[in-house]
Amino acid sequence: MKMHKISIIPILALLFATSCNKLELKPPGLVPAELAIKNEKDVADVLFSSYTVLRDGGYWGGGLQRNSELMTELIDPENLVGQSSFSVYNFATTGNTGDIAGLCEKPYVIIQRCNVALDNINLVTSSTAQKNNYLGQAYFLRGLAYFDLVKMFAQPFGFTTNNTHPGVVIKNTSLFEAGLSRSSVNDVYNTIISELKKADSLLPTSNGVYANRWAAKAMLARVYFQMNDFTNAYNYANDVISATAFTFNTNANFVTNRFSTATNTEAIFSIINEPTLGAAFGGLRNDANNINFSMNLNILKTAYDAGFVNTNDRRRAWYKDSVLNPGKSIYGVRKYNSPIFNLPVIHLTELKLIRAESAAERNTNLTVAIGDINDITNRAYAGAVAPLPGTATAAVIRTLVRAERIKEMMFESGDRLQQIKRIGAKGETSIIGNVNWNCAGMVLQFPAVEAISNSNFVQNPTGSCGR
Amino acid sequence: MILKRLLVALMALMLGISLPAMAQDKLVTGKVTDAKDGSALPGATVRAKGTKNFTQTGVDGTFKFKVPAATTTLLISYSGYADMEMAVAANGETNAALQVSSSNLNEVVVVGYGTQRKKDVTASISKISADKIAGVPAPSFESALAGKAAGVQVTTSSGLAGSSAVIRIRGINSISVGGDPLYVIDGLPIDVTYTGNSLRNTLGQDRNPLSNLNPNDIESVEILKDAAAAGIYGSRGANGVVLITTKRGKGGKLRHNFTARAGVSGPTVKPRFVNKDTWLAIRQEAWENDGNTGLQQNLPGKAGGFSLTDAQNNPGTDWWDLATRTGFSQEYNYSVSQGKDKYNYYVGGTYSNEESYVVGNSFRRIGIRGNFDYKVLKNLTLSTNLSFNNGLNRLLNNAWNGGLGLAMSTGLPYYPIYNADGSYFRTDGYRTTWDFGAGNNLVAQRENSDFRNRENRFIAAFSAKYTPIKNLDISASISSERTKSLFNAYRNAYYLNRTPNTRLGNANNNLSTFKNENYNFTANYIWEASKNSRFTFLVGGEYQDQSTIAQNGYVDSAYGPLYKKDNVKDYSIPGRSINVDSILTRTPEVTEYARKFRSVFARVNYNLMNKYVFQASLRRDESSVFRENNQVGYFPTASLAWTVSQENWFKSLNLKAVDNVKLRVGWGLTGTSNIDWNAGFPSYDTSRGPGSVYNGNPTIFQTRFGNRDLKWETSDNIDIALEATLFKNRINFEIGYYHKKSSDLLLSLPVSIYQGFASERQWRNTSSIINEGFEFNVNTVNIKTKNFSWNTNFNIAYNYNQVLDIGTVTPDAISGGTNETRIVPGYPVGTIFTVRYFGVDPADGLPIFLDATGKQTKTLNAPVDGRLGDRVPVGSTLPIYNGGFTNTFRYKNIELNTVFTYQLGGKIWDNSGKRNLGWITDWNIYSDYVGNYWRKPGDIAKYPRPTIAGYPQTFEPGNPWLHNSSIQVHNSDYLRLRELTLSYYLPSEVCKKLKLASAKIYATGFNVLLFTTYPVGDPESGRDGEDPTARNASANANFLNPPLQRSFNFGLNIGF
Repeated sequence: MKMHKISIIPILALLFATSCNKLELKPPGLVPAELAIKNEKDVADVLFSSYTVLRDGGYWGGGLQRNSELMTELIDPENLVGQSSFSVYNFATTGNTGDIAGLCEKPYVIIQRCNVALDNINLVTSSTAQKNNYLGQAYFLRGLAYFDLVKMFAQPFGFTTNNTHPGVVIKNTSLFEAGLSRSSVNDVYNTIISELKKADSLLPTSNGVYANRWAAKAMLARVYFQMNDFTNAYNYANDVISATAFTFNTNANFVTNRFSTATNTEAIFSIINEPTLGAAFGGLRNDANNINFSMNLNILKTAYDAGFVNTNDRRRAWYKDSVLNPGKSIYGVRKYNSPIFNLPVIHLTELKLIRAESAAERNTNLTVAIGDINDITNRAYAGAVAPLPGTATAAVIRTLVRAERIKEMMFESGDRLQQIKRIGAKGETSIIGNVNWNCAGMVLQFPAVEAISNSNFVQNPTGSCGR
Repeated sequence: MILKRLLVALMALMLGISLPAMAQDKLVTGKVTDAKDGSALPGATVRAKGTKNFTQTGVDGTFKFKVPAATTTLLISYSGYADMEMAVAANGETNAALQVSSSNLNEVVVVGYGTQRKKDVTASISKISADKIAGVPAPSFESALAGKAAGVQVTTSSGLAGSSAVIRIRGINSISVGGDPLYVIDGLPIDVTYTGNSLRNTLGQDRNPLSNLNPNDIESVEILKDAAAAGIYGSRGANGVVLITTKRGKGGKLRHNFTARAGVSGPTVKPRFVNKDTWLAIRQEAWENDGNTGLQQNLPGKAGGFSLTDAQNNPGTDWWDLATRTGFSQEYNYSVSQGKDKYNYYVGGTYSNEESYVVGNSFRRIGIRGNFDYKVLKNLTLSTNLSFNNGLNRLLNNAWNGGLGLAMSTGLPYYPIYNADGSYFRTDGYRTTWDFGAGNNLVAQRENSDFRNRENRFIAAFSAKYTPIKNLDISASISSERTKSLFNAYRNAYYLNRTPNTRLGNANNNLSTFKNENYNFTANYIWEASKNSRFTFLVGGEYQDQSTIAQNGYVDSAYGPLYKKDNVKDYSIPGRSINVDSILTRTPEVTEYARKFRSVFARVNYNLMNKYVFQASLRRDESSVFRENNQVGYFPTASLAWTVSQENWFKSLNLKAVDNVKLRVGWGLTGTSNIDWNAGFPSYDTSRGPGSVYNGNPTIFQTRFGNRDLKWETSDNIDIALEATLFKNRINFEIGYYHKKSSDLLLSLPVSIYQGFASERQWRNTSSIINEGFEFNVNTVNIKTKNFSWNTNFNIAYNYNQVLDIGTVTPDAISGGTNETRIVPGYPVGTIFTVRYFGVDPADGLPIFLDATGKQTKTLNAPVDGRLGDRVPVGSTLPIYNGGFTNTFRYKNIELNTVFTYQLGGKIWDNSGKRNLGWITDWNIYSDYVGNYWRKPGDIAKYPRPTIAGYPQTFEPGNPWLHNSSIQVHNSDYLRLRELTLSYYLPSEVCKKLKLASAKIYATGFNVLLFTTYPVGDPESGRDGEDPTARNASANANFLNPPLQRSFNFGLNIGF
């Protein structure tokens, strides 16, 4: 009997401790990270997949521009299509407003893909330059994504004195992290600047279709300008404009060249239209009325008439009136009517507008500012409008730059809405109809899931601002 | 020497031969019978008290043996019956009628991987014997468990034929994974997949994996409730284990058994709705309340609307009447069985067809079972269990998807069935998505569709038991289960509103094949260390491999359902018919689910002086559904039973009334692991497809986080109980307390967008629940005379359930199906989360609510943007108390049995109520609304004034679906007379004349009476089977659910 007792213990111990091969069942179609990302090319492919998200119709492929523009004074609501459009137009989005979900989702998808690429960056072993290039692109894309998020889902920089008001969640790790809170707008802007500065230091000056050093600097100019930090905005804009890489297009063809597949000497960073994909940027091309307009948006006739009072203005080609119903003219957007085009995310014209307005705000380098604005008006009006004299005051310059900015940037990159907010945050009167720049409804509601999935998440205040 | 004699005695016992008698003996003869039905008990042991002389009864129950002349008393024992002492009659003929034992310490209880003497049991196990299940006309065997075991809550889903029941043992331990117990048939854990068939779910009746089991095959059901009992099942034991043991041959004589049952059924309650004229009058009132004048001209129902006059002139239709009938059901069982020394067998067959009271709904079951044991050698027995069950469930639209549901919702009383030209009437322009094309006409729906589900379950098990040395049993078994579930749906052209004159409808052919292979090995050794010290060791190993493969075929143009092979027309080749098999061949097989388990386990049970029993067990489980370091889990248990009444000091108290007192304490860890097989798997899309190309370069990207750290849910259980037997077995009771903390609960949660995965859900271990409760069970023999007896069982269970935390998500992240039940920290699972309805403003008749802070308001904060708004927890769908009360009266050969079941302290969520009370659209109106609603300023009313446009303060103006409030919350308390059975046993003399061993005829009523305050229907209702969360959280949420069935049956059981 003793033997029994003694032998049973080791047998049991053996039984419970043994583990032969693991019990593994691999669900088909599921590829874990260790099998997906094995080498340098895989890391690059994860990083490059971010550009496909940038191109998505819910984000830079149309959602960003369209939903921003809906909140400006330029839109004719009469032929608006879809409940979502009205919610945005009326500054009354909810957590279920479908069209704006992409504006929250897509930037975060980009951030996560960059996070994964950064986690695996040590697989990039071909050269330090290559590694820095990928690092720089990841930082650039994250900076761009955070900037778009904070502009759409938070009150602007300057809304509170120290910018302690809620911004967006910052998540710069690829790990699953539950329950994160929104960072302050100040922290978000610090992150954006830090990302873009890292990109600036790591990226090469030339990088094919991918983001390069100039793209990082141009974005920094845009970010600082949005913060009303005119010194930095001027300097970064000036750096890019002064570089030989880009040329201001003085040709009359600028109206078609900006959104085309032809060489665009002004494009600092563009999203390219994949030839194999056919027409990309679905949100920009979309035309429910099927009369060859883009974006499903109509410009308000009064805005069009006021803006393009000068019939020589070449930019009138970007809009067109057409008869939708008998006897009823509508003014559609035609900026994106090319069958296939590359979409500049930031271009030299915008930087010249930033540099000129920054100079005027600082009341220094006015000659440079006057040069910039005259370049733009000379091109637009084909000489039909007299250039600004060298003696023009800062105030005159600023007024003109702002007016021309509307006409150049209308329906592009959501610029008009951000200018309204920036100017308001700066302390000037800035309203859309009866609605002040800081009305709660002018900030989009996060999709409901963001609050449902996270009890630490503070949703934006609801506010119908009564347009 | 003693040992040798014992061995001889044992041999004798096994071989069934009597020992040679000694001198100076006298001969005694007699017969041992079942006191209940007079049937002979073969193999019963008859012993001369005070001697070692014993014998066993023969096949006819008789015995004859010599006993010492001084013998005055015989001791008679038979497994499952109470021991009996009989005085030896003067003439030597001593007949004994044994009573089935309700509490016998020598009784054997089935436990995980073996059996135990009741006196060795240290755990909480409820045993339910065959006679309490068979013959109960419940929709499925598990439904018949209601009220029969303390702490086992049974909620039958609906009155549909074959409908499932939600069984919860000692509360609910899980949220997103199945809270159903593990079902084990003769050692094989079987498939219990309720959810996942979305196509079936849309019909309003989910799959019931247990419906095809034959209750008549069941010998006993043991419910393992605490960790000490269920811990041996480790990672699958946390929700309790239901062990089903099927019948085997016993007794030497060939026995035939035949049962027949037939009866009728109807609903337990008929929900009450207003008639045509009242409906139209209220609607007119609503019209005027909304500021309109004149008679309505656009009542719902047709393009442009019915005018009030037209609607009033329509004869109208009683849709409920058209949807229901008296259902007929019948069941037949026949079995033969025999137990011999070398072999025993049980072979049984069953046929039943149950029509529910819903026209077109039925469940037919055919089954056959053969259980064989063969003793190849003296110490080697080979066994095989083979069973085949077929269930054919005829289905139709129901609940939220039409059918009887329409009679309670959008089938308005003024709609006709047919238009003047004889075509079906169907509504136009109203709710076209609600009921597809059949236009709110349940007759049209039914006659133009065909839904059915056919399931075949085949189980084959082979096992060998080898006893190399005394007290050592080594067993090995291989079991295989194959279930094929074929769901067919057909909707014809009319139903689909397709072009007239086309005969072609669409058809689904969804085949799920469930495979389950189980291999196990056990060694059981009993070591009698000394006279008073007995160890039972068990070690074992088990390997299980399960998978579900789905083939979902769809044909857009079929002449009829695809179970008829000539009904398919190939869409691509007009005019040519093709074979159904080719559809299936074309349909890709998809492995929906697969998992493997590998386990080892050990248990030791130590009985010291029959006073102290200590038991410990450990199971090590490995499961393929978890990753890397979390694949292995250890589940230990330890328990102790102390038979206080065996202590000398207790005996010295001389408490005559007390027969036996036992205290039990147990602790253990159990687990739950029912998650999707790919739940934790991270993934990348590396297909480099066209959409991923940028700049000519195909890219790769992450598609799901997965969760490599997923692990089992772990339940930490403590169980304390007191068992006592009083007054010579007249009273035995058990009172128990348990506390379970289940941690690391697996939740399927929405993923925050900032994680970079839009619309992804992720499994995480982030929650914990406490279940704490008391159980009380008492059996009493109230009266016991020669001709009359009255036995009672009463049980009650109290359960407190609380979700402790849900991590960083809000209650809306985990909803219990399509209704307002949520998971709220600090509240029970299945808490109703809605706005509090305060009452009606007497001034204007509009509803007043309470906002989140408790202030009265007419303007609610909407639950939009992911906000909670003014919703608060208003009650739980989980009852606090439930139990049963059974009384058995017997007078001579007549027996009356009544089973009451009840539940208390829970709420029911009437999810459709928002559409039936006040907001008059195109829905039927509850009768309760009439006379209770506001009509003029100053009225103190229960319900707000009728409106068509809607109440201004609802969350989304014009959307009545969001008009939820606590007005839809009701108490779910009920007491029901679940079973009422009157039986007559043919006296044994009559049986003898008829050459029968036993015979019984009975009449039984099921769900005979219902006492409830729930105004709408039957409060026992289960609406949601969308997913396991819904099954856990919404057992008592109702949405147009067909009320339970009430049935009356006559039956006959004969043995010969």
